[in-house]
This record gives sequence, structure tokens and C-alpha cells, in this order.
Amino acid sequence: MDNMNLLGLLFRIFIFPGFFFLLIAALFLHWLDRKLIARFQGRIGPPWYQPLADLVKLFAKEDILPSGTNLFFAALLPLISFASVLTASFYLPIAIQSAPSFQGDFIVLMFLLSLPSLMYFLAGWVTQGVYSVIGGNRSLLQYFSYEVLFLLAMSGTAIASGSWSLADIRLAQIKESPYIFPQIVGFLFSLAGLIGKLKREPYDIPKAKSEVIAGALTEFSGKKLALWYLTIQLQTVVGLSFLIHCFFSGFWQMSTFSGFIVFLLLLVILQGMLSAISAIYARLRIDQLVYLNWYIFIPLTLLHNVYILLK
Amino acid sequence: MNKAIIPKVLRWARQKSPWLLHFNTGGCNGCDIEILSLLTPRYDVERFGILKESSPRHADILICTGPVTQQVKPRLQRIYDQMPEPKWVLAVGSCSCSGGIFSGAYNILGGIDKVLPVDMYIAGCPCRPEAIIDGIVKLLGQVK
Amino acid sequence: MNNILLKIRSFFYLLPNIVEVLFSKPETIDYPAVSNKLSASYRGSIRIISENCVGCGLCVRDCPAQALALEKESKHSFRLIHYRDHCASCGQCEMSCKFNSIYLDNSYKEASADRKDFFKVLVDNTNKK
Repeated sequence: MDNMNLLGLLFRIFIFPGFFFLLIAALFLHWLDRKLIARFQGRIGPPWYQPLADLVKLFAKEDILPSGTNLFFAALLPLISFASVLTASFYLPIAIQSAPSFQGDFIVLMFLLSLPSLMYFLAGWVTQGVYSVIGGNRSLLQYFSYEVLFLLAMSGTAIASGSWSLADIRLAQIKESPYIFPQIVGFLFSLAGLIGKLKREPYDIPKAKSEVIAGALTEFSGKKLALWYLTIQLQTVVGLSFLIHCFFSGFWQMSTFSGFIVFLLLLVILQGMLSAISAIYARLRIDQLVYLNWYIFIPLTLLHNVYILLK
Repeated sequence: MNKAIIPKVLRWARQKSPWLLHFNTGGCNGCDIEILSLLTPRYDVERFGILKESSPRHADILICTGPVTQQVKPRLQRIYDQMPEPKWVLAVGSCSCSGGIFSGAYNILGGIDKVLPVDMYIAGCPCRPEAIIDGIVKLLGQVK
Repeated sequence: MNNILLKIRSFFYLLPNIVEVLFSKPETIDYPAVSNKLSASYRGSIRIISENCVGCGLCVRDCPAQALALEKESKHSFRLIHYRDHCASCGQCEMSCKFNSIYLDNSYKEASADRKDFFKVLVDNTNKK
């Protein structure tokens, strides 16, 4: 590899479609989320620099954990979830990046995006607080209902394109039409699955403030807490980009500036949908969640997938 | 140059994102309602970046209401110890400033300052939400 | 069937509401920049008309929070002291006063980093002869 190529690669990884761009997008979407929820409730909401100030403050705070905690794992778990979300972002053609695509990267992306949930459970287990353990167990309970839904609803696009490769899914959409129109049901259900993944309302059972303080993150403070929050914010961007890629490709040419603008616009619109859902719905009980997912959403998704298969 | 900029950035971040932990040390619940009214659309303290956290490990400012009772004293100290540095204590209401109308009772130690170092006192029974906002703004002006 | 329709409708019940709120003016008052008007009957701080005060000590006797103190040297030489950090704003002193000297107005108490700021001398007649 010659020098120019290496520099370009580093630029890609760290600056433009890579880490720096993701960070900016994550902070912006987080601010937009809080601002929109505030406006939905008739409030003014935080100023634009709010997520940045929170992050800087948390990184500069003292880092304490309860005695008896395995310090190595407590430091490792947020790092693993952060790294898995970042790795997921490199498989995804965010904006104009031409990501390396291979047969089955759809499944790899699914796995990488679900890794933080498992780490979240382990974090609750490691820190040993009562609320942390309850929060971690709840996140695992929730995991079994939303993850199946997310996978089934997203795999509708893979079935329609006949390939488990993200590049093929995009090509199939460019050839025909974006999958949002024939697969609107699948899109809505995968949005529900994504909400479960991000632990937002109404799927915020693991971190329910009025019940289990802050879930598995109760005992975390300082840098580690900042890393957890950053992970969830990055997961929002990557998950939404995944949805955009699988359902909205074909509207635009990926490699142009206008395509980039359309991508950002879609990101903002989807974040607005997430915020509206957060503002409208209250938290579900765990039995309501399991009933809703296993008795209503998943059978409907299966029917939808069968319909796609037979079409 | 670094030495000059980093404290400034930290000061800015700490001023712009104070997260509150609310703890009732044995009061009558009047000031608690006034504190919760800060989060309502009318006063909306999220425009200053204030969030009400539930875990002491996440919080910057400990808001205490009510006089310190014998029962609650060890818990108050423990919650204060669980908070990471830098941290501040805000005594809200006349009772938490001095013991107020409860002072002299057999189970009351007095104000919060009998147990913890208090950074800002807000008198009133119950104190207005405006007074609490004033107190927080004054406290953030003192940061570092 | 009707039941299911109602259930589905309940999923979107709040949607028109939040859209309406989103495009209307926020309820928030921008407090430190814009002052908030309190109702006239709000009992906030204690005020005094010192000419009317005779130093009888009725208010001190009746104060349930021991927020008032009277230092009396002679009949016409006394100090009336108010500790704002003890005061419960109950209005008992206003009820007790026979000379319409002490009353509560609707200004609230300000925050302070030092409790000594809450110490206030309401009437000081010690220097007068």
C-alpha cells in the first residue's frame, strides 16, 4: 500500500465517515432528541452544546466503583461495547463511504449491534449493586423479545434482495425501488426492535428511572459512564444508518454531495420519529412487552416475511 | 497554553451540565414538590443543562430538603460519599438551613451543615422555584 | 372488532396533541432574564414598619420557629432581629401584632452561600434616645 492510500484510509477511519463524523452526528442527534422531547412537552429544552458539555464533564469527574467490583471487567465492558459499535459502523456504508462488503455482513452487523446489550447485562453483574443486577437481568429479559423481532423484520429486506450482503441489498433497491414502500410493516417493526436495542421509551425497562435508579449503569461514574452514554448515542446513529441503508437506499446516488444531504435528512427524520415515540408512550411492563412482541409483532412479521417470500 | 485552556473548558463544562440528586433528609415534602416543579414546562431547568439523576454516582449537586434527623444522618453521609468529585451540596428550605420549625425536637440534629459542608443555602418555607434557580445559578457562578 | 379498533386508536391518541404542542409557543418563562410575577397573597419575606413597632414582643412570643428575637434594654431601646433561615413564613407574627407593624409581602427569599446573610435587624432603637 502506498503512502497516499494509507493516508486516505486513516482519514476515512478517523475523520470523515469514521470516528469523528460519527461522534459529531451522535452528539447532534442526542441534542435533537432532547430538544424535540422538550418541545413536544411544551418546554424550551437544552442548548445545542449540551451533549458536549455533559461528555466533557463526565470525562473529568472522579471515577469510583463500589468495593468488591472487578475493576478490570468494569473498565473492559464499556470499551468492548464502544468498540463493537464502532466496528459495526465500518461495515455500514454510512454516507458516501464504500464499505468492504461480503456475503453475510448483514448478520455480522446484527451481532455487533447486539453486543452492547450483552455487555450491559454483564456490567450490571460486575458492579454488584442491587439495582445494577436487577437492571442487567431486565435487559436480558428484554433482549429475548426485541432481538428476534429486529432480526426478523430486518431480514425481510435480505429475503427480497435474495442476499445477505449489504451491498447487494442496496443494489437491489437501486434496481427496483426502495424497500420502504413494499415493506412499510417490516420497517415499522424494525424501528420497534431498534428502540428496544437503544433502551428508549417505551422499551426502557432495564433503565427505568422510577424503579431501578439507572439500571445496570447505577454504579458507574466518570469516564466509564461517559463511555456508556457515548456508546448508546453512537448506537443510535449506526442503527438508524442501518435502517436507512436497508429501507431507503435507491432514493439517491450514494457517492454525491446531494446524496449525503439526503442521508442526513433521513437520519434527522428517523430520530424525530424515535423522539415522538418516546414522548407519546409510557414505559411498558415486562409482561406487556413480551406479550406485545411475541404474540403480536413477531407473528405479524413472520406473516409479512412469508408474503415477501411468496411474492 | 494547555494549562490555561483545559481548566477553562472544564469550568465551562461543569457550569453547563449540573446534574442534581435530590434527597429528602426528613422534611415535610413541601420543598420536594417545589424542586419537582423545576422540571415542569413552566420552569424547565433543562435549558441550563440540569438533569435530575437518580443515582448518586451520576450526580454533581446534592439537593437536600428538610432537617437532618438522627435516623437519616448516616444515610446522608453515605450518599454524599458515594458521589464522585467535584460535588456540591445545596440546602433547600428553611429546615435544611437551620432546622427551621423542627429545631429543638428530640430527633433533629439541625441543618444540613451539621453533617455536610453546604455550598449554598436557600431559605424559604417552602422556597420558590425561582429561588432554587437563583441558588443553582449562584452556585455555578462559584464553580472553581 | 370495535374493541380492537379502539385499541389501535389508543396507540395514536397523543400524536395530534404533541404535534400541536410542537408548533405552539413554549410554556416556559425564561426566569433569570424575565422576572416572574407572584400573586399578592403569597407569603414570602417579612417586612416591618419600624415607626409602629413598640417592642412589645408579642410576635417573638408567638413565633413557632423562633425566627424572631427581641433584645430589650429599656422601654424605648430595643432591637428586633429576624433569622430568615428559621422563618417558616407562617404569618403568625402578622396575626399577633397589635400595632400593624409587621407584615409579610410577596417577595421571596434569595439564596446565599453564608447563613450570616440571613440575619437581619428589623428594628434598631438602641441608638435613639
